[in-house]
Amino acid sequence: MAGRNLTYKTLDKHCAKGIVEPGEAIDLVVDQTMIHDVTGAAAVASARELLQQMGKDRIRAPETVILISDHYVYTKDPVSQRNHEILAEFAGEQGIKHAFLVQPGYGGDRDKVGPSYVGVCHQLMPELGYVLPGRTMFGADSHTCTAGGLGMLAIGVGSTAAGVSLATNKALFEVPKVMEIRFNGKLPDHIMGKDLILLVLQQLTREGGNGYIAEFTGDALTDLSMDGRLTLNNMSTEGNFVTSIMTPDSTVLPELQRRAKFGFRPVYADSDATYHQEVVFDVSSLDSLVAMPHSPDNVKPAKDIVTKIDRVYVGSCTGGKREDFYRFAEKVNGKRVQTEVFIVPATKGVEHYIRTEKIGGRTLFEILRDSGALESTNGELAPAGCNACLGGPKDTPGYLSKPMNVVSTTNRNFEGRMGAKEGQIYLASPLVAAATALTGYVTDPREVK
Amino acid sequence: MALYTSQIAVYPANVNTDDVVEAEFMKLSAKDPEGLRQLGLKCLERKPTIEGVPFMKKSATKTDYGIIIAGPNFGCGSSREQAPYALAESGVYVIVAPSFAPIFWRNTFESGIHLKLRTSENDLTSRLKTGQTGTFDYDENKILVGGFSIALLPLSNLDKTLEREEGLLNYAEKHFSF
Repeated sequence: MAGRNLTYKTLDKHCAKGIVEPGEAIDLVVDQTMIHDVTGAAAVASARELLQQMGKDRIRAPETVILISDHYVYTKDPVSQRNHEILAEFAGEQGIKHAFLVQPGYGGDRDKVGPSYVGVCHQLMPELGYVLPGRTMFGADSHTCTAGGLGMLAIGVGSTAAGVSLATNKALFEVPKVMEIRFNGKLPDHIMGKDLILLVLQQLTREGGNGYIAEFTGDALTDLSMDGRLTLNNMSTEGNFVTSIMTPDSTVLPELQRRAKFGFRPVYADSDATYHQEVVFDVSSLDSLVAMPHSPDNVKPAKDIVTKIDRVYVGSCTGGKREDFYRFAEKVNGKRVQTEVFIVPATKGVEHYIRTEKIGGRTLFEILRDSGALESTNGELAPAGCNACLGGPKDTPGYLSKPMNVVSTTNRNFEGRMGAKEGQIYLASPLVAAATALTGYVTDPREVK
Repeated sequence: MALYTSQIAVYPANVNTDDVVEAEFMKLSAKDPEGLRQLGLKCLERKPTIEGVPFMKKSATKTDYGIIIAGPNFGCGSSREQAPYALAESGVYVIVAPSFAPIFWRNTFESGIHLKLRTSENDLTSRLKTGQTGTFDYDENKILVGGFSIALLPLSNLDKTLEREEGLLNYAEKHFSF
């Protein structure tokens, strides 16, 4: 038999049949399920409906379920707040202890979210040791694929599939084909995980992944940090990949051992692994890339774009992690920003990092403050969470209340995605975001020393 | 239902789930009757057809267009299951496009709602106009519109199973016992 790739070896271990084949439907064993506040209410309803049909009161394994408040948190909207309560009630009823929820009656208030609230699911999970190689996860969110950066087969699904897997640890799953996407060459210093996935989207388009799981490989990836790997995998959904995955190595494994909330055993592709399609990029001379309005695959080099920018938004599961703020702060250190800036840490852990991590004896927070990057948020960081990455209720921090040109480190630039329908959103790495904030125009980071 | 006839609405490529249900209304749960009703009213609210025709008439509670003919990659973006529910609730019975985004496709079949998705070999949008009458022949898996009879592509075995079972919950009840 031909060598097995990482994807199929992981799937083989998670179905009774043992050896999976593309196109067949399997009953997949789902090791863990994640739901959040805006997809969770319906997932909980589906789980309850299924339990009733099965004549049961309790889900199969409450210790494998993770409940997270993150999407609509800092809003007075009562329906949004009710969704958090539905998750809390479900946690109590089923004895789910992995619950990272706002405290009851917090009223949308930043200071009252409570100690259990952490922030964005796709950053919270790796940070707290829930993303582990060799395991499978269903998440009721399209960016669940983020976890592939650490070798987990993590699949974004809707509320029904999430409700079923959280109740039974099973899924009905059609085995996709596998595409190897190889990045060769030495990774240049100005290139981040974001640039790599924008390259994939530019070359393969937003439909290029239809029917495929992407396996990211190549020597350039050994230089990519843990955060960079998460970013690269985060936007594979923008290319319609079912999900994406890459091999965990010494950059991430010791740290994952330390954090792990569950037992895990990494899976590795056979040395003669085969794929249905192979795509190879040499990234050694890659330019910083930007996705122009209104599609993540409308990608051009930053140096070829001349557009005045009103706002720079740094945040989300895509661009609101530790490395994202470190590189942004490093770039603006000792300079003044020329645009409005929103600094939005994904989690409280990232927020703590910004306040404590230092460059040249000064914290990232101090560097950002002195550059003027916190002026549009009253000298403070925006509160940790998804916030305006997806627009949300109109009182969400960073919500685009009027048409503006925005460079954002987030993942989607559809019309109206961050609020105002006429807003023009340019997706880029934190380094491009920093260079742009300093000049007021979309700027290649190499142009600002 | 063997034959379903309605006016068609023609939509461009890459209609995303933010277009179908704007993020602000993602707070609504389709499993809650009042939430579902509101989702139906919000469906494609700021996304008119390819010709700029609103999806729903002012103050109407249902659309006149039970059939959507769309360009490639319908339903891309966010995994929100509110999107297929909103379309079904607003009165859409079938969507025909050359391709659909994978999560939207799976959500529709898994949810067990009466919305049908079918793929066509080619993009039909350039030769059709919103307001024309179309007939979806469920049994023959074809659509009759604008003088054309267009064969639709067959569903996979998994999709047929989910359509027959009327959703993943019924399948899970039989197969995922514990």
